[in-house]
Amino acid sequence: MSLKFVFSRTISACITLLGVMIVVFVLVRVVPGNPIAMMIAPGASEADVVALRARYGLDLPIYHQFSLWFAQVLHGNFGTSISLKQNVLTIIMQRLPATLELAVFALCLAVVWGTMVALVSTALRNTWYERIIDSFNGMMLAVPDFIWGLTFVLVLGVLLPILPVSGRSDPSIDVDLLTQFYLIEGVLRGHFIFVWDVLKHMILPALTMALPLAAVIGRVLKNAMMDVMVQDYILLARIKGLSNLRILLQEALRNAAVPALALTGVQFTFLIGGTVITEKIFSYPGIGNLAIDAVIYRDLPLIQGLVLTFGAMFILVNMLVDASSALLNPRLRHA
Amino acid sequence: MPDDLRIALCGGFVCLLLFASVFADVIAPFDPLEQDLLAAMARPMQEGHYLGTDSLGRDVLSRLIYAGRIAIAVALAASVLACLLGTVLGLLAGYLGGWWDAVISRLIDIWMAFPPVLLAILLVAVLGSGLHSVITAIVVIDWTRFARVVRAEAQQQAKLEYVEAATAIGMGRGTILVTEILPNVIPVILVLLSLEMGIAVIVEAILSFVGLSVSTDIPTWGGMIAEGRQIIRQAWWVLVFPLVVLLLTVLAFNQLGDGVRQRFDPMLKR
Amino acid sequence: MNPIVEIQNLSASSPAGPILRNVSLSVSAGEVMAIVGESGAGKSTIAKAILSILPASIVVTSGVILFEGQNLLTLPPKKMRELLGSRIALIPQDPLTSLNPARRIGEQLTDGLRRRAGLSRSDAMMKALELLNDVYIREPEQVLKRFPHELSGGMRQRVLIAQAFSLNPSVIIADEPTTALDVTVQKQVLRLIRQLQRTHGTALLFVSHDMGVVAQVSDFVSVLYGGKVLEQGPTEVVMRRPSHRYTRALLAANPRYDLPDKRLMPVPDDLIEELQREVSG
Repeated sequence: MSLKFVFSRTISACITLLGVMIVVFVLVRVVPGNPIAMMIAPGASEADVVALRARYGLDLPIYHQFSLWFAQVLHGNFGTSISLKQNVLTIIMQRLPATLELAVFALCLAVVWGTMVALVSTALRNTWYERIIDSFNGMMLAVPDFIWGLTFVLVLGVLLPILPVSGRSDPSIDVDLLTQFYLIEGVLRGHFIFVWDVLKHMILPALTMALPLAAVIGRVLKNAMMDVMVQDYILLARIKGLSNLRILLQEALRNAAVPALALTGVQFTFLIGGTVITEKIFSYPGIGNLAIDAVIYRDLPLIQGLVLTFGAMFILVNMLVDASSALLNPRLRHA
Repeated sequence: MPDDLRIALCGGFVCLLLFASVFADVIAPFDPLEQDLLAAMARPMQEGHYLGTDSLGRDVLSRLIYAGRIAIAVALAASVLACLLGTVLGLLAGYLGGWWDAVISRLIDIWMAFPPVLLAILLVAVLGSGLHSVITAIVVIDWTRFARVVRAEAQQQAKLEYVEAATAIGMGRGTILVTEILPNVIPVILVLLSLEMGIAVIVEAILSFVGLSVSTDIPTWGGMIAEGRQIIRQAWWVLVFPLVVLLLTVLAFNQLGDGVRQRFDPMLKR
Repeated sequence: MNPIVEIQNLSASSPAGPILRNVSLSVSAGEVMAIVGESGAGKSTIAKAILSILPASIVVTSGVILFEGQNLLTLPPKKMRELLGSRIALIPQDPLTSLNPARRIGEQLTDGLRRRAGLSRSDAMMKALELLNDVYIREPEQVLKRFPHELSGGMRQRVLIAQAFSLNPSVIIADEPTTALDVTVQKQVLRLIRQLQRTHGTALLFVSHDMGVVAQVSDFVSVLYGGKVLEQGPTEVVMRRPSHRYTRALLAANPRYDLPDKRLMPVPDDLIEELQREVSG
């Protein structure tokens, strides 16, 4: 991939990130709703309020506040959380791995599920099975992650309680871990009972986040596959005597993936946003859950740190999608 | 399902919802705020409580109906406002291009880099609770949905010959925008509008689930769901019924938009 | 000579009417049989029938297609798939759309060699180099690693020709293989096909609408109109002393660049009427 391309996209991403930070900064300070009000105990004196404002630099002009904060961030100092009384960076780093593992797991589930649906539907084209699959997928398109999550809690957590619906792992399973990457480290260290338990806790929230994306992939990829299957090179592949399965996977999928990725790319970033409500529903200890609490407590430094983190994740996912696009499409590679 | 049937079914459901919201006072069997601790967590079909009661003995059905008001109000107001904002900006960006487009597109990019739910929660927390803040939050998050699509449509339309012809005969750009481009963009907008209503209902539900919507004594579907989540093992019906109604409402709005789109644009590729 | 492919009394129809009427023709090893006719005459339908890729709307109403004794029309799909690619191959019309844009040339070329002949990847690539040499492609090692959009039209068609010959099939169907090419390239490609066909002793069914092309490349020719074979025989004979009025008209309609300016002779209307009657009668 051309270096110039990567460079310009990175710059563009950074500018977007900067824009995001400015918006949040301004939003929390300018809009009505005194940020101080949530932070102080009731019955505090006027002097306390002034002192608090000075302490958090809220008495300075906005651009001054921003440049101060910006300089701090560049040095890795994200400030101290008001509600949790800890270093913001530490807090985020502690809970980020949980969300990362969940998000990646969900992404993989979505891609696998969506691709399977599209492939099976294509393989069964012109039969009534196809219509059933497509209708089912279409219905799934309308269901947002919020509803999936609650339904899972209801059905698989309570009615048929076969899976846990809160937390990340069973506290009674005792393991010694260095990092917060439960899955990865657990596998590497061979704690397979632990890993199984973690997976059981992750599967429902991951499905919650994955299914809406899976439905989109299912539809878009199916349409792309149908376009590809009528192409001449597919006909020639058939005449070369290649099996239906091989044609589907080896010849068609690669070509269908390109336009499909272009259309669904933006949906991948929505998945990241989905962690916020999903983690709340499943009491999953990641940064999504943290974010809601941070907002309710008006914990400015934490909010800023979290928005920056989410923004960075968004942009990362975008870049990955772009990179995948270029990799899949040979014509783009030599651009 | 044939499109006309789909439109009729979903449209009917929405009308039912509207009807229930408007005539809530007449239809609801109980006062939604009235507590009856002796009948707390009663099962459905007991003592006239068709859908049971919650932990404070309040009738689920009545609360459901009154909460529907909030949902409909938010759906209508938020989607129309988001539509207006997004359409205006989208038209400007798509048709006028140049500087307008550069700025508005960058704005859209930045906006879309936010986790929408986070932004909504942030906004409502900052603006304080109340219907107005929920509506504002939804408009602020989701105007980009309209803007992007309208911008793309406007760009396409602007390239077409009839616009060139209009420019050639000396029509002002503003006039062209309103009289030529807008009418062609309207079908797309209508479909998005229906979709947006579904989204607005969900966002409101999420906000009230987290406790950040209207004040907590007013019943909301999200609030009921949150409460139901807590007492799910003792009184599953408090979670189930609002969840089902929410799902049906969202599906209805979605399918309505889909049906309208398919019915009025036969050339659409699926 | 025992025919490799023998079509006997093949008739087919579509919703719009009959497509093939009682077509009989055959081709033997080392021979080239051309099927020539205008658009809509049914040439592609014959090719598709042999390859078992007829669209669902076209139905064979009678006749057989014998390949080495077996009737292809009644063969179970699995057996047919075994034949395709290894014993029966196709050189398609449009080299641009017939190559998969997402796969490298080397991979597409060695599909058959690896799946059917069971060659290892490296062995298959060596063979592919040989094949590319046979079709006179320069720097074959580079070409193997390229993608289709990086090659010229002529090169792509050569790759497809190499692909068709790769498993040494008994019969190859060439479906207007030069139509999509520049005139300057056409002649080279035709010569190449002829040369390879002679070397391998393959039976070749050459479908075309161009009598000039047919004259260069075929041993026998069947003239098709409205799904019916009007005339059939050795190319030299049919070209020099055409017995059917339509054949004569076709020959006359072909612009001859080597002769002084003659008027282009389209097929006259009354001939068309006569043909309609003959064909449906």
